[in-house]
Amino acid sequence: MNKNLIKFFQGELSAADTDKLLDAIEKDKTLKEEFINMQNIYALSKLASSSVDNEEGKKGLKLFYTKANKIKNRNIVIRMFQYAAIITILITSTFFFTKFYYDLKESSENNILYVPAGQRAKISLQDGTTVWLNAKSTLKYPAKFSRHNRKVEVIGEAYFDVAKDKKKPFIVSSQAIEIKVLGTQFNINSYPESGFIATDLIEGSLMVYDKNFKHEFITLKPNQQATYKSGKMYLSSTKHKDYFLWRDGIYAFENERLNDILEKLQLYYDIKINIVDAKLVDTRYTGKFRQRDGIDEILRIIQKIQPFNIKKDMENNIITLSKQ
Amino acid sequence: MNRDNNDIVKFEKIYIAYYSKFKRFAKEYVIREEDTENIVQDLFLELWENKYFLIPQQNLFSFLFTSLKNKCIDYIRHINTANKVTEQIQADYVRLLKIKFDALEILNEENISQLDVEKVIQDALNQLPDRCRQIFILNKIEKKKQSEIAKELNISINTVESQMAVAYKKLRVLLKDLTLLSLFF
Repeated sequence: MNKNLIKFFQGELSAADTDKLLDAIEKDKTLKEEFINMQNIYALSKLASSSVDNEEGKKGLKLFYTKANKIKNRNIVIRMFQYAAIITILITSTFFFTKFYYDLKESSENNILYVPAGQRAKISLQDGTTVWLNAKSTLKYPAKFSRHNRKVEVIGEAYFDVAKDKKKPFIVSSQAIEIKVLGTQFNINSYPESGFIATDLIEGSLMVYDKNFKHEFITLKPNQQATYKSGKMYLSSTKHKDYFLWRDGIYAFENERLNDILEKLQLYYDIKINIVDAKLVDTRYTGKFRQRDGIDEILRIIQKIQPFNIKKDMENNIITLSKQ
Repeated sequence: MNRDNNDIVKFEKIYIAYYSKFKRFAKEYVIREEDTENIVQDLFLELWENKYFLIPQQNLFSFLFTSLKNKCIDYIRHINTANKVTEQIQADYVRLLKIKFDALEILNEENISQLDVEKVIQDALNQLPDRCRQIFILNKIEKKKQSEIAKELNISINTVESQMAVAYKKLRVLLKDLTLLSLFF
């Protein structure tokens, strides 16, 4: 194993052998100590000066200022770094106590939160409702709700934990439908590109309807799903609850075809994935991934179950999968 | 934030001097380029916001280095807690992270805060025989593969391997104050 240890630190140990090496290390305390020793000595020695330091430093500085400026240019105070991809925004609204302003149907200030591909966001609304937004999603919400109801608009995917308020229904508007609840937890999947809108109720009760046919509403019970497609509303059971873990940055797939998984990944990461061999499409996978892992890592893991080749076109942001 | 020019000049000097080194170091533990970049940029953002660049030069490196080490530790810990849910996925990446985490914890914080870490490391490398040092730097700092080095210096791969072994043996002794491990092996 010693030889493999050295090879590992040379960066010349194969993935399969690395796996075996890790197995050995986990069992052999002596080997582990040797690894740790090598790890630290090599890492420390990398702190020695190099001729490239100056140039790399200048490049890094440019990136630094880009990031720092992005932070400065926000209206709200946000601290967003990709390895902590949860954005929590606390909105403190100023309360207008005069009835005159309180009666405005559409609040004077509408905020729009857009979450780009590869990110997630979590936000608290004025009434205490918490909303999680998935990648490529937009939430439009007022800083202060109106007197009669609480209305927001969403595109993409969002998970709502609505604060109970019997006097003020919470209404979510998305494309052609609206959802009305009093105090509830539900998930809505409404990406325009997908051609359907799926609403799943986790807790509480929920009414969903086509905006043009408000009287034809469906009432959901927990673990039920309403799917709106081509003008029709269908009722079914929620397929697998782990799916909603997305709000914690975990994407769970249960016996899903590679094709469907890839469609989601394309949405979440804003990247095009082509499959060259039709046979790959139907293989089913069950697994969980962290959003933070990134597309490369996820594909690599899926690849372990049924191998395929991965080709990346970095310039055009396209990944192509083909049979080995 | 309004900063005067002096501050900016001081800050940029430190940034350029340490950015690349810190990245090389952090990547050894955190593995991924993107994560490394984020951690290091985070470090410098703190440096900027808290005006740490006003710390006297002789203590600054150690201070930043300790902060960097802790950021790496926090990051790996963070990944490991999140990972408890994803049991079905292999974890060569995560297993590696766990061991590197253990390695991080063994770095000698007390000595690191008191020694001129940069100097200790530079001196150690300078004590290697010339050829040995050259090969070591080509491999570890300029990230060249053994075959490339052999070709470039017109020597056999065996020579490269044995010189790397020599380098490691010597450095283990020369850098012993920076870690808490025994030299038993």
